[in-house]
Amino acid sequence: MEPKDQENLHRWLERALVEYGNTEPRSGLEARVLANLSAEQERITARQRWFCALTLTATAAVIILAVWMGSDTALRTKIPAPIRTASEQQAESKPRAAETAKPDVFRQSHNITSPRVDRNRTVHSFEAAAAPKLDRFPSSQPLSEQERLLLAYLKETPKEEVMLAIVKTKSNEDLRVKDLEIQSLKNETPAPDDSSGAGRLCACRNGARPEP
Amino acid sequence: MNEDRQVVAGPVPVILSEAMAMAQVAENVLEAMVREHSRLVYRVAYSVVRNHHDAEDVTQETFARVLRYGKKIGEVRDQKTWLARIAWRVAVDRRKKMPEISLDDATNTVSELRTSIASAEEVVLGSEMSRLLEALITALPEQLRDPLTLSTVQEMSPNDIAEILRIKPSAVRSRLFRAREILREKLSALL
Repeated sequence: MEPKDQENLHRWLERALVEYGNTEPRSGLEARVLANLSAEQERITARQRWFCALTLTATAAVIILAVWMGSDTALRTKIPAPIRTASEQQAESKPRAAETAKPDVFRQSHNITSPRVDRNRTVHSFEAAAAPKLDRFPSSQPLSEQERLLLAYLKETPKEEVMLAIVKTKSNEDLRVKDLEIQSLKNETPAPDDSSGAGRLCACRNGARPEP
Repeated sequence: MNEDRQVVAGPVPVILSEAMAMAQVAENVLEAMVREHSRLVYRVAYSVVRNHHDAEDVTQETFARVLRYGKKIGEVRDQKTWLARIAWRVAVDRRKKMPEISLDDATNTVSELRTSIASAEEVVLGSEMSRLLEALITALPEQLRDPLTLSTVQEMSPNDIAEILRIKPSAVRSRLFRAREILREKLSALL
């Protein structure tokens, strides 16, 4: 290619490159962009509202759940486990005894078919865990019937009488102990020719009184 | 009366009103940006995608991204370069979906043009020349093509191009020189 053509080509290339990027958008580009932006803005706002609503709902749900769980726990801690008296325990133990009196086969089948026993156990353990801790250990138990009778007797009777009764019982105990005492072997003088001395000793050891 | 209202109003309404005011400011800034730089954004997009429809889509997408950027628009130092960079990236993403043209294909196109037109002068003067140049630029390696296409946008200086491509201005100049050399060689060989 000649230098003149080279020069022409160079000039043409520069002009062509300028024209390459020299383009104009269709009229109303700004208006279209702004309209699209306002639509996008509305979409974003709507999304944010949804997000806010969802967040609020989730928060409210969590609060309600927490309050409900808290009230449930508070109820459990406030209401203590019912204290059973001895008579109630006895009354309860009667049907249990009746149940245990049933044949083994029946009991086994009952255990297999119904998980009632296990469920009760878990409930009881849960209640025990939820029960409040008392200041005294072991916790005070209700008095049995005999204990109550004894207390009533102590209140009604004067002290001297009670002391006398105590001394009497003690003396009875002493008497009984004396009965059980074994006399020492020194008092026994077996005859030198009597061969039954050994037999007497054996009888003493067995608790029988030696014959005079 | 207004003072009483301000005293009665708690911190939440104050925060809300501040947020609304900030949103309003951001909206105003964005509108000003659209009015000032939409043509530049369009040209940058067109220089890459070479299609009016796609260029407009890229422009819309660019400003939508700016909107999503939110309240930080006011913190941008050089809005022109910032917008041009966003537009260029969006356009390049879109161009990746288009089929690539190799340099051999571009040469074939030029050969076809040459056979259909009698002399080189006619080719130069003809309207088909722009298609020829476009084919050659599209076939350039990416490192040379990007600075060249951005340099065709009137508002873009080598410094702006360097900022957009995140390279040195000297590198932009050398790449532009090499790209022009390649184009000149190809054209002189073909014509």
